[in-house]
Amino acid sequence: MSIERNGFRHLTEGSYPATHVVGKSVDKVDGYALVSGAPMYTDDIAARDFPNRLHGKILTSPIANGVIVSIDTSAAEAMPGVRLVLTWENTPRTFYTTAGQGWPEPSPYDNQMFTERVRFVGDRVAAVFADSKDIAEQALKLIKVSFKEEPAVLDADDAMKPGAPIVHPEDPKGAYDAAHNVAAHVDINVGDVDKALAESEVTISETFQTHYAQHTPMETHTAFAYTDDMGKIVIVSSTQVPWHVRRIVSRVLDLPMSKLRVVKPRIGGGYGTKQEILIDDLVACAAIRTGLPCEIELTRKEEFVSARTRHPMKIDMGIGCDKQGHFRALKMYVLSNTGAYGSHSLTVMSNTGSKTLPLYNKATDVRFFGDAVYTNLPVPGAYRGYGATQGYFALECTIDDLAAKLGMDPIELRKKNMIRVGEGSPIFEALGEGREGVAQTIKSSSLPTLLDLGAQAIGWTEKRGKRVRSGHKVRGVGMSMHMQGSGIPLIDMASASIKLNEDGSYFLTMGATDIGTGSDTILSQMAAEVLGVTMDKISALSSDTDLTPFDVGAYASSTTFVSGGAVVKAAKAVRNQVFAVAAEMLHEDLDANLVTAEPKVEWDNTKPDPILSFYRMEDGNVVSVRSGKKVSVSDVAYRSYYEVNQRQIATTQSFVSPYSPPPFAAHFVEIEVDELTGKVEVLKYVAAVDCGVSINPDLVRGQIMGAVANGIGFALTEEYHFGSHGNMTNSSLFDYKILSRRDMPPVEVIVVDNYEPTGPWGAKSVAEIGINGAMPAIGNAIFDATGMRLHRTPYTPDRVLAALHSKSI
Amino acid sequence: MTISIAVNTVERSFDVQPDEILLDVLRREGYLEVKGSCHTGDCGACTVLLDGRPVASCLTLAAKADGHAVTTVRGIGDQAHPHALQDAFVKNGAVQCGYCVPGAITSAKALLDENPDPTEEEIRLAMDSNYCRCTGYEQQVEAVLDAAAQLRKGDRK
Amino acid sequence: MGRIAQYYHAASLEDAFAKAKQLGPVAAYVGGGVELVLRRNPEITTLIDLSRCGLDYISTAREGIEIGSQTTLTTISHSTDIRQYAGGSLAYWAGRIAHNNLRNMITVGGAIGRNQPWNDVVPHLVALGAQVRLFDGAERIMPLAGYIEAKQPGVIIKGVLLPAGNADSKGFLWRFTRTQQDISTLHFSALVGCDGEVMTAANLVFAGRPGHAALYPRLSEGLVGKPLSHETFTGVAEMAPDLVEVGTDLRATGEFRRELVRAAILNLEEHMTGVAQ
Repeated sequence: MSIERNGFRHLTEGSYPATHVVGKSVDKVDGYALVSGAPMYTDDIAARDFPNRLHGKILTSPIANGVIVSIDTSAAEAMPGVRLVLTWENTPRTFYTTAGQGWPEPSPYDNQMFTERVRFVGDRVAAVFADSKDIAEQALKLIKVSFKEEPAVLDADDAMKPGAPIVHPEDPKGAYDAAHNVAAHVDINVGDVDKALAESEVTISETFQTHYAQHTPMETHTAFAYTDDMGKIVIVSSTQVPWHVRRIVSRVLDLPMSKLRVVKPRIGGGYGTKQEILIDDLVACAAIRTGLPCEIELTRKEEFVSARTRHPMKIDMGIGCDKQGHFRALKMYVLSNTGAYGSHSLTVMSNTGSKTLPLYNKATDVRFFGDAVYTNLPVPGAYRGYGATQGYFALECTIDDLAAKLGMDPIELRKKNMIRVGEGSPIFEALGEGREGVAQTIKSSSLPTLLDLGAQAIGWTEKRGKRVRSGHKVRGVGMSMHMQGSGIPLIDMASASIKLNEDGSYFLTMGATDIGTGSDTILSQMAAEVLGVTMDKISALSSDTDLTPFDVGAYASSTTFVSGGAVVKAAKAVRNQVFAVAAEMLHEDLDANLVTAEPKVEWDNTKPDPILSFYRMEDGNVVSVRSGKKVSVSDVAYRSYYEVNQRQIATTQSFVSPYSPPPFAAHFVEIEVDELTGKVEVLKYVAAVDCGVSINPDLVRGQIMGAVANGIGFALTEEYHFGSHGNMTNSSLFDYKILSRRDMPPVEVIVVDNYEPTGPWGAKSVAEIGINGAMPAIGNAIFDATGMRLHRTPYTPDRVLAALHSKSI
Repeated sequence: MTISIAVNTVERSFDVQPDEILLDVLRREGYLEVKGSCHTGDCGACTVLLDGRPVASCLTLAAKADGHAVTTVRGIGDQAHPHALQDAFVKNGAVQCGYCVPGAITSAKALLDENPDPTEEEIRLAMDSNYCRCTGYEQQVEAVLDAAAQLRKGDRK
Repeated sequence: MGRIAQYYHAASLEDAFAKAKQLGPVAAYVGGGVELVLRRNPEITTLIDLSRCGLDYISTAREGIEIGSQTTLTTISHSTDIRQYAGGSLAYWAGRIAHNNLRNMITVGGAIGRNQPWNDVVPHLVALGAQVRLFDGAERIMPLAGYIEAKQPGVIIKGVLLPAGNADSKGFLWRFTRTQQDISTLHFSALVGCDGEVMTAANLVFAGRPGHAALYPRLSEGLVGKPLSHETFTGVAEMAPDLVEVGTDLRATGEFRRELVRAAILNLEEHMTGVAQ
């Protein structure tokens, strides 16, 4: 690059294999297409290929809770240009969850295409498909609905109280206790935490409350469906989970999977909101009924109100330790507001504990318990961080307050109790996502280095406790530390296929879902590395349920680790097939077992693949280690496809891992509080990260920067406002404020690579972890600057000012 | 009504309703490189140049552009002949999902046309219409600095 | 939203005015057109575009600087003359409020004509003592502060005048926003004239309260004839929260806005005295 990067340091700890394309910031494979605005997003494809498609619009509920007494669509149906009107009366009644999770989905089956009840302002009532968006919108106004409105429960604190309105009186399958509005419940015990707390020399107990926020992808949920020439329904969708879409739509519409194909094109951002089967059912149903291509593109307002959000949580955090700060007990209770439907209710809540508490594995007695409750409010779902964001807020703020109580530096307190290489935590085994977890041992971690470098970069010792003033502004520094995971162990599966072309190039197809993260690029890098070729020799196709093999989709930070594992295995298997033909051509022996052995994902520097003692790839040739002779890969292909012993050189490989090695991060922030207005300004942010080996450093940096920007918005400016009847009142980018280009503070990213032996090329993951730091670190910095601890978020100026005036905290 | 707009220097005639929106007309006429997002003028994804100035095409009536010149990102460069800005965005890791990028590059082009040596602050100000949820903005700012340097050297168009 | 039947490009001011008179209340003038898509009056069926009427100009004369009503905020921010006017506050802020696309589209005439309660241009012009040149067959000039109190349908705003007499006073704008790309939770504009260490004139305007721009002459009294001292400003800062009408909306409560009113005055003090408060 011709510009020196002031804000990015990329270091390594320990050693790992030399590579020629992994670890390099190669161009994103779709980069040049995207910068030219190529028509690769869902609506682009629809507009280009199906200009006469039908447009769908959704009628939503104006009330938070009630029953549809009658619905008369006749006037709408009679309107010229209207082709189809859908309501609960003419659509399948199948119960399902909209959550895009592996089967059997660990979320209640509490949704139907259309329900006779409405459960939040924004809930689906009807859908119209018409020749134009205008006509569809006009037709919505002609639908006559009469509701019987019922009292609504608009506060999670009220949901479990006797007499509370019941959001799901039909008692859906998979709901823990719908009669008390409990969608999910969890209670994990290690040891006896109450006894341990009682015996602790020092204890602390605090309650925190987080808020509703939304992903605001630049491209809203968009999907269209059409019938192809062979009668198959094809859904093209801005989705993170094509296979879950296919499975769930197939079930809901009673359409065989052989008649249904789901394609993910380029996506304008997901961050979790598109890990959901939100509108795919509607467009598919409409395409079947009308025989015409049908599209829905949610408006920005619908994206806020009727798509998915983050789970607001109230968390009671208790810690018990001795006077030297050695943790004994950790007790975390979560009251998670899961809104009107329980999509991701159990798993996000589980993650709140499972991704946070093991970080402090020195605590011997731990209890993590919680309830995810239904309310008549917009529906939370998957959102980058997935519960860990809320959990770390409560945990990291409490630890700082404990440090203050102990008279100890907060970093020192963390160092005493944090998990280190070679260690595990009983929480890993006890708590998975919705079921039992899998025991893990940390095999790589740069966390101690991250803490030291981050502290140095922010000027921790110089600034902490100093409360530097300038007029009515005062400064402080704060930090927080985290781990996440890399896929869901023993559950997330990915697969990849590779085949060789005659010119020595390869075609890679994989289920892995590139949602803008660049997975097509880094997975191509991994394949290129194994196959000893440059990036131009790999072309990739991903995320088509017909054309590419299976992948659970882009979530749980699984793509680099799990999908990467599948790609490495596939590349090795194909490489080995090429070696076998080369051996034939060179009249050399090669043990067939070496060729067909199950490829390993892990690369152990001391024990390379046995086959590499015989052959290796170099500059488009196979080189024999024994004789030094070469055969070009292209010659291998021509021979195999046209001449001798003809066969296709190709493979499909899958990967499931019992490991989910956590990435680690330490975030540091310097802020300035304006005592006249309560405004908090971030002066400098340092994000130090260990993601294993950075497959593409520029993309790693980009993931962290984007996550940090979102985290700062979550901490300071983003929140849903509600009116008196559960209606969102700020459902536009005009009123819901995300960080703009001028708001972004200087952010220094320090990546300390540390080779993870279980990961493809030593990689772990990086997609989610970066968003968890801002809220606790800024909260801790506000404490440093002012002595005030804020328990409610976001830290808006009015809340900070009120705290400064000691009116409320 | 019939309007004439020079789109990417090519004279075009469009049949439009008086209240049709420029974004919709452009996409309808095949200029799919102009992306729609919020449709309320708040996010910048739909940014095009109107006589060289960046505007929100979702807030511009097509009729208002009658007799004027519109430049989309493809008028700045394309895959076969990328502009220095497009090169720089790719090389500096400034593209993730890419949805904000056509609008962002369009804003940056107008800036560099007027100010070939902008400071970081000037870049952020000139591109403040363009929200991005993926990149955290920093690498995009670096890309503009990079492109500006390349253009000043005279190596690039 | 009602449908527009006709989009008419007027060839001159006279042409535009005649057309509007002919059509009556179903016609509206178009400035930058920023509000047309989202907040169009459904009664309107004809739009009269003024962009070809020669109203995009900035000219300096003895009376002051005149800005044509079709001039955009960006053009204003680039103008050397306006950068030198009253300390350059109008030029500076015209280049920073809203966001770039909107600054290229918002015309000063459109901003005045619509006078949305959140707009930052009108309050600042009011503080600067601006006048408007109107056309309704003939031309006349009146203070902007008076014009926004009583709109006159059919009248075309031809231009805005920045009076020469205020050119050497100090313009000041302080706005409180949640992010840099947000409308003002509270807007405060001021124009202060000094003779040495004594203030001789002060226009104080609050807007975004969430109401429209309003002058507060009672607060001005607390500054005029007084020295540039901490006591002077603290006195006004104490008075102001009770005098300025503020309300509650989704951005802030009235109570919080009162704190912002106080902060605004203290920030003015910092600007005028150079001393951080």
